[in-house]
Order: sequence, then C-alpha cells, then structure tokens
Amino acid sequence: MLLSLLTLTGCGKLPGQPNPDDRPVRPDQMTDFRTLFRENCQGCHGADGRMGPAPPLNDKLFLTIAPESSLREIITNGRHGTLMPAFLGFDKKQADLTNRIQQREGGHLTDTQIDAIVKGMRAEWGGKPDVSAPLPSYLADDPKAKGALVGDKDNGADVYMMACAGCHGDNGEGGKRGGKLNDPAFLALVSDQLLRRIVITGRADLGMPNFADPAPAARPKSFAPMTNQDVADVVALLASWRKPAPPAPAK
Amino acid sequence: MMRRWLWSTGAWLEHRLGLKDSVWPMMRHPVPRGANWWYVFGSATMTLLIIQIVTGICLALVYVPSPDQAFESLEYLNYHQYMGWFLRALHYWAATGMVCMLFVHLTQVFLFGAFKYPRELTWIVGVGLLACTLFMGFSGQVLRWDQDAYWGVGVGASMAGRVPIIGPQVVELLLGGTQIGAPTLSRFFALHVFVVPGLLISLLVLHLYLVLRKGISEPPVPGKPVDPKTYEAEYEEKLKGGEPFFPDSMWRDAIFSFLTILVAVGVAAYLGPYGPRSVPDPTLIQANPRPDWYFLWLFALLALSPPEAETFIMLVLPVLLFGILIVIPFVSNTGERSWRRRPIAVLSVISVFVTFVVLTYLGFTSPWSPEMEAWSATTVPENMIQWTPDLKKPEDKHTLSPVQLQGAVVLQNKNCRNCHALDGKGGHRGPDLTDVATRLTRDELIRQVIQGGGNMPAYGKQLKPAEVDALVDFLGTLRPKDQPGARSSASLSP
Amino acid sequence: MAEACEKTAENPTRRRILEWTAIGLGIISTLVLAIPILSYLVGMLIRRQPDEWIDLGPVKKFPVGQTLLVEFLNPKAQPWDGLTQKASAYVRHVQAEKFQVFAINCAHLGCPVSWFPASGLFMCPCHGGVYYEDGSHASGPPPRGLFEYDYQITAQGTLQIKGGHLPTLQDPMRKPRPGEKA
Repeated sequence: MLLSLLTLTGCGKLPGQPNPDDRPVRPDQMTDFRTLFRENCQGCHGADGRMGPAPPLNDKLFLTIAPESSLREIITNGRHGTLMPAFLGFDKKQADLTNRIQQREGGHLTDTQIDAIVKGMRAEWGGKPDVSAPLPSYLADDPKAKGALVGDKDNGADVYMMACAGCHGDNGEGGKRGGKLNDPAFLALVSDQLLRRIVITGRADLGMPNFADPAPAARPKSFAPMTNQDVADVVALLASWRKPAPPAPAK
Repeated sequence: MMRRWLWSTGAWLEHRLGLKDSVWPMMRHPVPRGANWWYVFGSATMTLLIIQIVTGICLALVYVPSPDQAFESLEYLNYHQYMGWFLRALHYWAATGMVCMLFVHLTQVFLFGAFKYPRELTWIVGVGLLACTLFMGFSGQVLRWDQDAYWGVGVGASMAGRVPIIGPQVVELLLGGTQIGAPTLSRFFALHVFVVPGLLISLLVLHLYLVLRKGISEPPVPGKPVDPKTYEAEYEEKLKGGEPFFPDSMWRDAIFSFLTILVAVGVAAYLGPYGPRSVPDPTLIQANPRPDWYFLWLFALLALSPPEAETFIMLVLPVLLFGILIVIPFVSNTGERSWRRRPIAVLSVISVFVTFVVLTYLGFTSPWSPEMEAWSATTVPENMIQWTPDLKKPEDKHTLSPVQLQGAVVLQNKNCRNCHALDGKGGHRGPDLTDVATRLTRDELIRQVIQGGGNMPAYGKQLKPAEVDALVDFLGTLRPKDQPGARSSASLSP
Repeated sequence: MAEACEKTAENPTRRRILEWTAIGLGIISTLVLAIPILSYLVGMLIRRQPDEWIDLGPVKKFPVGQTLLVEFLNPKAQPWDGLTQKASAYVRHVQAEKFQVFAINCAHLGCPVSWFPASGLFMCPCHGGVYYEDGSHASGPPPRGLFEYDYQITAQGTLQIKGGHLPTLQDPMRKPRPGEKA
C-alpha cells in the first residue's frame, strides 16, 4: 500500500502514464515510411512490398533502375493505363488553409508524405542488385538512352522464344510454370511501361526471373541477358497481342 | 488541558449545531438484520461519484473549454501537468466504474423487489440519477474534444434533428448555433460542470433522505409478499431486532467502497487515460468515430435497425425505456419481493443484459461498417497469390496467372475489400470471399459484380469489361485447393 | 410570535393586501428575470443566422468528371473556434456549368463520408451508409441521398456554395426543387 503510494507520488513510471511519443499524429502529418506504406500501399503491393498481386516494390533491381522522379510521379498521379491510382491530396503550395482544393481525385497524401514513401522505399529496400549485365533503362523514352526506344515485334518474337517461352508457352498461352500472357483482359489492364518493368525485373517474390537471370530450369543454355533494345522488342510483341477493343465479359 | 479545551469547543459547537439530535440519530438509525453484502453497491456508486467530483474539479483547473485549445489542454494534462495524466485516467475509469456500479445497484434493487411499497419514490429518484449519470457520460465524451467528440456531437445533433417539426430548432439549441463549434463545447462544458452535477447532487440528497426516511429494505423472503396495509408495522417490528447503521452495518459499505477506490486507482494507474485521440479537425475525413463503450449498444442498434424503425429508436425508445423504469414500482407495487418468486423479473433482467452485451459486442466489432482503408491497407493473403498444393512437394508451387494477379489488384483497387474480407481480414459488411468460388459460378460472379444485389451496389458502370474478366478470373481461384468450383445449377439439372 | 400572528389576523384587509402585493411582485420579478435569461438561452433561434455564399475556388480547378474534396472556413466561425472552423465539401463537376456539391455529412447521422473514385462510391464509416457518385443512396441505413449545397458561378468564374449550417434531415442544405426526389 505504502509502496504503491510512493510510486504514485514518486519518480517511478507507472504503466498507465502516456508516452509523448505515442501521441496521435494527424494523418496528414504522418511521415513514418512504414506506417504510410502499411496504410496506403501494401493492399496491392504486399506486406513488406512483396508477395502482393501488384508488382513488388521491395526489389533492388527495380529501385535501382527506377529514377526517384518516376516513383514520385507515379504515386502522385497514378499510372495511366493501369490500376495504380493517384495519391496526391494536398500539396505544400496550398499552405493557405482557408481554402484548399484536393489535387487528385481520391488522393489524400501530401507531397511531403509521397516524398517520405519514395525515400523510405529506397532506404529500406534499395541497394545494389545482384546483376552483372548492363541494366536496361526503366523508361522506354529515357532521356539518357538517346531518344525513345522503338520496339520491333519481329525481333521481339526471337527474344521471347529465348527468354519467356520456357514458362509462358510459345504463343503466350501459358504453361505449367508461367501463366497465360496472351489474355485480352490481362493485356487491357497493363500498360507497355508496366510490361517493360516486369520484363526487366521479373517477379523475384513469385519466382519469375529478371532480364539477366539465366534461370537454368526455364531458359535455354543459349540465354543471354536482354539488352535495352531486347526488352523494348519483347514489349512490342506483347503489345501486338493486345486486341484493339477489349471483348465484352463472357455472359 | 488540551483535552478540556477540545471538550469545551465540542460542547460549544454542539450547542449551536445540535448534531446529537439531528445527525447522530441518522447515523444510528436501525437497519434490519440480514442486510448483507448485496447492499453495498449504492454506497460504492456514491463513493465513485465523490471521486468524480474531486478529480473533475482538479481537471477543470487546467482544461480550457474552448475549441481552439481544448485538445491542447488535454495533451498538456497528459504529458506536462504533474499527475495530470493520472487524474484524467482516474476521472475516466471512475466514470466507467460508476456507470457499472449504478447498473449493478439498479439490478440488485430490482431483483430484491426493494422498489415496492413504500419505496417507490426512492426508485424514481434513482432513475433520475441514472439519467443524469448517462448524460454526464455523453457530455464528458464531448469535453474530450477530439475527433470522436466532434463527430459524436454531430451524431447527437443528427438524432435530435429527427424530432418532428421542431427538429432544426432542437439541433440549434443543442449546438448553440448552426454548426458544431465554440458555443457547442461551451454549453456541454456548462452542462457537464454546473447544471447536471448540481441536479445530480440534489437528487442524490433526496435519494439518501428517502432511504433514511423509509429505511433500507429488509432482504426478501420468498412467500412473504408486501402488503401496504401491514408492511410498515411489520417493518417497525423488524427494526426492533435490527442493528444500528453506524457503526455495525456501515463497515461493510466502508470496506466495499474503499476496495472500489483501490480498484479505480489501480486501473487508472495501470491503464492510463483514454484519449484524446486524433485532433478535432472536421476536414480530416479519414475518421472512424466511435462512442464510448456505454453507448456502443445504441451505436449498434442504429446500424442494425430497419430505416423505418430508426426515428422511433432514436427519439421514442429512450423515453420509453425511462418511462418503463419509472412505471415499474407502480405496476408491481405489492406482492412477492423475492426474485425466486418473480420469474418475469428475472427473465427480463437476463434478456436486458444479454441484449446489452450482444449489442455492445456488435458495436465494438461493427461488422456493418465498411473498412475505409482496407482496400489499400489490407493485403491479399500470400497463400492466395502462391500456394503449394501438395505439402510433400514444397518446390511445386502454383502461382496466380498474370490476369488473375491483375484481378486481385482490381479487387483491391475497386475497394471491394472495404466490405469483403479474405481470410477474415477486411470489411465484414459483405460475405467473406475466401471460398467464394465454391458458392458461385463464373456467370453468377459476373452477374453479382455487374448488377449488385442484396446490399451490394451495382458495379457495372465502374468496371471495364477487362476488369470484370480479370476480377472474376481471380475470384474463381478462391476455394480450398482440393475442392472443385461451384457448378451452375443449369448443368446440374437433367 | 403567536401573539403577532393573531394581531395581523385581526386585520384581514391589511393581510389580504400584503398577500396580493407579494404574489403580484413575485410574478413580475419572475418575469423580469425569466424573459431575458430564457431569450439569452434561445437567442440563436430568435436571431437565426442565415446561410451565406462561400467561395470554393475557380471553376477551372475542378476537372469535369471528377469529384474533389474542398476545404473552406465556416463563415459563422468565432476566432476561438480553432480547427472546428474548418469545413469541407465534395465538388463533383458533372459537365460544363453543371456541378453537384455534397456535404461530407452522411444523411444517416452526420458522420464524414469518404469518396472512392475507383468504385464510384461514397462510404460512411459509422453505420455503413453507401452512396453512388451522384449522391443517391446505394446501400445501408441512410433514408435519403447525400445533402447537396446550392451553388452558383460568379462572373469571375468562382464556384460558390450556400452553406453555414449542419445539414440534418429536416434542415438539409437546400430544399429539393419541385419534382426532384430528396
């Protein structure tokens, strides 16, 4: 009894005493990467940025080739032609609190928070990828790549036979190890840029090899890492499978 | 010398105050024998009220009842004011204890038939005390000026707005203006700190006066009904064999009250203060407002009741419930007091408690609410993305095809998870989709997605054909991997 | 004491006068006190503040086909209103000059609804009210669609809404136009 009184009035810290670090943070001022990622990204990209249905972000290769500006741009505006939505709500320029208009429909992150996500991904998951081949550029029209890459689907067919057909089938019909690519619904929902990204990075979390992985079980002995142009060519081939108008759902 | 001085001062005071003739007989009033541990809850409730008054006054020394600083002053109490957090915690947990103790006291009085002749008025005043206490609970939640408080007032105002004809005027009276703001907080402060405590204390004095005047009810004996003609004479007779309240009977109350204080202090020290949660900024729409626990049942009831019955539940039901409580001692004024001979009373207590517990649980889990962040925050279980059909061959993995992966993204992106869970995670407003493919065929899935139905909105306009295809492809994989998918009833019929 | 009582009783007229004076003065003083105090308490009803036009921003900031959240200051706010003087609304630019401006308060019990563009739904976190993109009721307990503000576009191209009170069932932001469902 006396002891508890002593702790009450004395210096001991009681379990109920609130810690200033736990005080609630305004949702628009939360800049902790883990929390932001958990609340906004992991639904599609998976816990810890992998094993989600959407492409993994916890991927050294991806984070190495994708420039920070691209990441920021994609989170801010969403990715056109895919299911990636825009996340920007209010930006710093709208410091005038008397009247603010949301910048992107449905978005509720500030530009500071988007920056925290971009920086956080690179800090937590970035690093040197385990690839010795020269890295293709992330964007097809990378300014560093001296003009936009134009893919050639005929050459792409050769690259496809070497790099993809082992799993996805000769005509993209899918096989035991890899799913169907020649699927109108799939091709309607992904942009060329997303195809490019997946061809380059593969999906390490699901066992799909990247552009340079010899993957002996799936790729022929003659496999050589894809070049920047090879990637563009394969994407051109896949894009050529896309039907002009998506079919009505089967009734 | 000292003793003589004390003695003479005492005598001087006694000559002026006359306590020996007024208070002393009250303390010594006889209590019927057998008044046992069941009789301690009322005094414990009062003890908690005293804690509330003391801590409340202390908190009012620091708290600022103005919306621009109320939240900051609460944080100041939590983090800077020495022992501020403890007083906030004690005020919260003693309030919780007071509501609990009050209901235990009420139940005990009800089951012991103590509300019957001649103690009807004591009961009615007690019902008034209950109303005051519940209002203190609600207004106390408003003074904790955070997001819950802000939207809680909004809910209260929206309910008041349903009063026929004068609804809008009632809303303005409640809010002190046309919007939730400074006048709202000020008036809840005035009510919580001046008006209702004043009322509460007055009613309590009346309650105690009535208890003294009509005496504590003797423990009921089955087969000895209350008869107004003879009851009071019999009670007088019993008192002759009774014991004086002070000190004989008071020890039990004292022991229980002191234990109650220790528990309240312990819980407060261990669990700490509640809130304030997020800042009361009405533009932060990612709010998830919830009432404090003693109103969760009402929260649940309002979500579950059919729309036609709602206005009735909001406006008439509370009046009706208090009306029933007030009418009880008149409807059942005489007769058996023992709960052993009052099956209806026992059944109604049980059903009220079961209803309360069930509704509170539902209010706590609120399965009817969409989970607003589930679409972006709740993951697709990994074993639905990639799984091992045969545990003996762990290297043989099955993975969703590209279109099925896109379908899972559609499921997330189109906010389906806000209402539909996978593996129990996500909203619970709609059915869990973990094994939806065993229930619905592809065609049925497409129809449900496009046309909606049941409580589900139609998504036809929102989904591109490719999105429907991908989504249904993914949903088709959602079944135990050793079970076939649902077959259409058409193919089953001969 | 008893003698005094008897003495006044001896003079019934005088006593009557005293009684009536006391009662009369009592009534007058009660009224003199009660009228100002009660009117102070219900003052907001006697001098009801009408809604005002509030600027939301230039029309060109609202792309056609989108529904955006806008924050503004409640025109009725007091300087000590702090954060609660902020308010917000959803602006849906339907086409050219046609807008829909929704209150964020759910028509059920006033909780804040969130807009989900991907599914075209407003969802309420409290009791599960859901509305379609045009504010009409889709699912859950709300007895009507979202509350809508009256709006106008000024000569300078600014979108304005008429607001300033908490919308409730009997006091929505605007009365339904003839022939329009609430």
